[in-house]
Parts: sequence; structure tokens; C-alpha cells
Amino acid sequence: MSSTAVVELEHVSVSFGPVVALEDVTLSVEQGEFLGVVGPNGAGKTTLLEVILGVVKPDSGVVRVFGRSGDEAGGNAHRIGYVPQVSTLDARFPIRVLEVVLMGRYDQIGLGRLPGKQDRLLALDALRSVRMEALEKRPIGQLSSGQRQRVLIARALVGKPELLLLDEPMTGVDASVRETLYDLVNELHREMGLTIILVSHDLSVVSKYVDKVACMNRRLVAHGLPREAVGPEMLAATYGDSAMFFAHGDVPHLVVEPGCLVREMEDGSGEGDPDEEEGH
Amino acid sequence: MSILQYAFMQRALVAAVLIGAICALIGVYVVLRGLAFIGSGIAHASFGGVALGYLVGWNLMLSALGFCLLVAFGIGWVSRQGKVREDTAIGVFFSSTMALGILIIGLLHGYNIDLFGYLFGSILAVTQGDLWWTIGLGLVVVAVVGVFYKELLLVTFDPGIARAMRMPVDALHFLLLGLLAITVVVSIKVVGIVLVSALIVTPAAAAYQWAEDFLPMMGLSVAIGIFSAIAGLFLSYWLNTASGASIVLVSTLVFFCALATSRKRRVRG
Repeated sequence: MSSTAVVELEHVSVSFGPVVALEDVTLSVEQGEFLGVVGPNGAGKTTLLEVILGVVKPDSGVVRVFGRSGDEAGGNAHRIGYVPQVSTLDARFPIRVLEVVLMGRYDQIGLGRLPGKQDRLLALDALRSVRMEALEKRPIGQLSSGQRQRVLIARALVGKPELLLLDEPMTGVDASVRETLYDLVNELHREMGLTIILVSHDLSVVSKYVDKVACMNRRLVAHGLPREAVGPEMLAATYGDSAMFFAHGDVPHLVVEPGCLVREMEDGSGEGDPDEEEGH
Repeated sequence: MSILQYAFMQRALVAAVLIGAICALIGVYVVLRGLAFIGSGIAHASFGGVALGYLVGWNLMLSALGFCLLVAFGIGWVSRQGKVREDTAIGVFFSSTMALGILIIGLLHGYNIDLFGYLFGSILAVTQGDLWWTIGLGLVVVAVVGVFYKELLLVTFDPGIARAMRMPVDALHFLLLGLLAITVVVSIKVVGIVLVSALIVTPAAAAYQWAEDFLPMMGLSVAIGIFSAIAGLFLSYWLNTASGASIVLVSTLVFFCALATSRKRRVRG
């Protein structure tokens, strides 16, 4: 693989007891790339992020992030910014916006010490980059979910990461706010040169912004440029046969019956791949 | 005030204030992490520890402390194995350790154990030695919370991100359980096994209603804990009622005031 790869996964498999979360996933993300990872619920998208973060160890396969694998990968923690699903946040927790953002620097402040003036300035900078600086003193319970999402992005940015991982950043966010959030992420990508991996089940919107799409259903079904990777066969392989697609614009829209989201997939379902990756 | 002329009353007041403060401090984590049941479980387990101390002839405070730490870590460990849910693990430990205590006390006929005192607290029986234990262990709790302030806040607020930042999340959880066990043990003599979890949860629950930031919640909780201790102690002196129960009921009153005047709005979706 190319030497500029920030993330390299080779034949990575992860199971939780009897549940297979990832199966033989081979994927690489280049520096400065904006990758969208799409797939139905239970497709292993969050697990993929956790493997990259080093929180989940693969049962087999190799994970290399910034060229480091295995035990060395602990040194990567401050180079990765992680934005978990906003729903994992307890919005009733008594805490203000600035304090949440400061948490992103906790690992760089020594034990027994509190954030100092420099940390506060960095946190305000991060808030400014998501346009939330005016609300620094607001308790998080008084924010909309879109604003809360921005706070989480600011927290991930405050550690000055090179790689940003976003897990379903649009879930629970009003449709009207989604576009602005995508614009914001896109801006971070372009202006800061951040490598971004964004996980979503919202295929049509994701494809509009990202450089590359990876379609997953435990296996990597397709990986490539949005208009190449996203075809009817791949959608069927990712989401199951009962999904229906509307083609307008570059990328087909998708309608899926809820009950069919997590389907058993047969081996070789990724054969419809238009290009790359499967051959590694 | 004239009642403070008595040495036992002075000791009682110091002990109550210290315990009110420590319980309220740890209570903040207990309320925000949903550890109320585990706190109650550890408190009941201390009964087994005290009885064991009588049986073997050890220092009661130490045997209760060792036993509670063991039970706290046991609950943490068993539930992390994933074979049973945490509340089930607590339920098992909770009643079995209590049963062990009752069994041992049955074996110790002839001993005159102040059971009622341990179950419901008897602050006026606090000795100078107890006070030193309370001060020493209280300082340990405050020091550990001070040193690990950021880390405990982060694992309480967002364990997922703490894990992603490579913090030792499990170790911090066990640290918190250890602090909870220490807090319970220093408190049982004053408020009793049955009532200690109320003293841990209630001031923090009241502070939760008013506070909009973490550190203010902590300060407020400690203030409510200390106020309840002082007011409850004087009430119990004047009304000649049990001190532990009086302290707990004062804090409950504060809690309902907080609930009624809470500025906490409904969380926006």
C-alpha cells in the first residue's frame, strides 16, 4: 500500500462472542482523504471506528494507523479526534460547553492538574471553528442536538488531530441543520487538511461530500469514488434485496424496509465491486 | 451554644460534618453514574464485615473496610464478566453478605453487640478513635478525588471518549468503587448501614436539580451534606431522636425543596 496511508486494515475480522461485527475487511485511507462509510445498522461501522481507535482489538488481521500497529498504536491517541454518536451523551449532565471541549485536552494535562489558560484558549479556538464560541457558557442540556454535535466536534478538534472519526454525526439532527453540519465537516476537511472518516447510514447525502465511499455489511462490499462504488448491485449487497432505489442525481436514493436492514449475506456478495480493494 | 460544652457532642458534630461532606462529595459520582444501588449494596455488605471483625477480634473499622472493598470489587468484577447484569450481581452480594453477618452474630451468643447502633447509627457513641479514622480516610477520599478530578469527570460523563483517549477506564471505575466503599465504612457508625446510602445520594440529587456545571454541583452537594449534618444533629439533640435518621430527613427536605424550585429545564431533543 502507498506510504501516505493514514489507516490501513488488512483482512481484519472482529467478533463479539457469536456475533460477527467485521469480517475480512481490507481498507486503506490516504492522508487528506474524506471517506464515507455507509451501511445498515449492525453492519459493523462503529466497530470499524473502534478498531481504528485501538479500543477494539481485531481477532485476526492487521490494523496500522499512522504506520503503527498493535501495542505501539497507543501513541496515536492524541493524533485521532473521535466524535461519538451524540445520543451516547447524557444531555442532563450538569456541564457547560467550554468544559466539554476542554475534555479533549485532558490526556495532555498531567495528573492532578486542571486545564490552564492555554487550554482554554485552544478550546475557544476549537469552538470558533464550529461557530459555537458564543455559547461557551451554556449548559449542554440547553443546546439543540445539532449544537451538541458541534460541541462534540470541537472537543475532537481541540487535541489538534490529524485524523477525525465521526460516528453518525447526523443522527437526531434536524434535516434543516444537516446540510450546515456537512458543510462544516467539509470545511474542516478542506481548510485543515484533516483526514476524515465519517460513518453514516445516510448514503445519498454522504455521497455528495466525500472523496470515497466504503459500503459495509460486516464485509467491505464496495470501496471507491461515490459514483463508481454506489450502484444498484452494491446497494442490494449492502442493504439486502428488499431495498428499493430511486435514481436521480449522481447517486441513487435508497428506501429500505426496516425489517430487512440486517440480513444474512452470502459469501461473495461483494462481487459487484466496480473497483479496487477486494484484491488485496 | 451550650450543648457544645459536652465533649461527646463536639465529637459528634465534627464526625457528622466530615461524613456529611465526604458522602456528598462521592454522591456526585454516584448520582451521575447511576451507582446508587451499588452504594446501598456495599453498605449492607459492611454488616458482614463488622460481624467478621467481632468474630476474629480485629479492628471493626478495618475489617469492615477490607470486606467492603472486597465486595465492591467483587461486584465490579462479576458484572464485567458479562454473565450477569450488574444489578443482579449487587443483589446477590448484598443479601449474602448480610446473611453472613447475621449468621456470625448468631454464633457469637454471649457477645453484647450494639446491632441497632450499626443498623441505624449512633452518633453519640463516636469515640476519639473513630474520629481519627474518619479524618484519615476522609482525607484519602478528598485527596484521590482531587488528584483524579479530570479523569473521574471524563469517565463519568463520557466513558466512550475516555476509552478512545486511552484512559484506564476500568481502573478508574474500580477506583470509584473503592472510594465508595471507604465512604460507606466511615459513615456507618454515625448514620447506620441502612441509612448511609441516603446520605450519599440525597445531597447530590438535590444539587443536581440546581447546578448547571459539574464543579458547582460538587460544591453545592457538599454544602447541602454539611448543612444536613449540622441541622440534623441539633434537631436530634433537641427532639431526642436518632441522629442518623434526623440528618437523612433534613437532606431529604432539601432535596424536595430543590425539586420544587429546580431551574433544570426539560432537555431539548
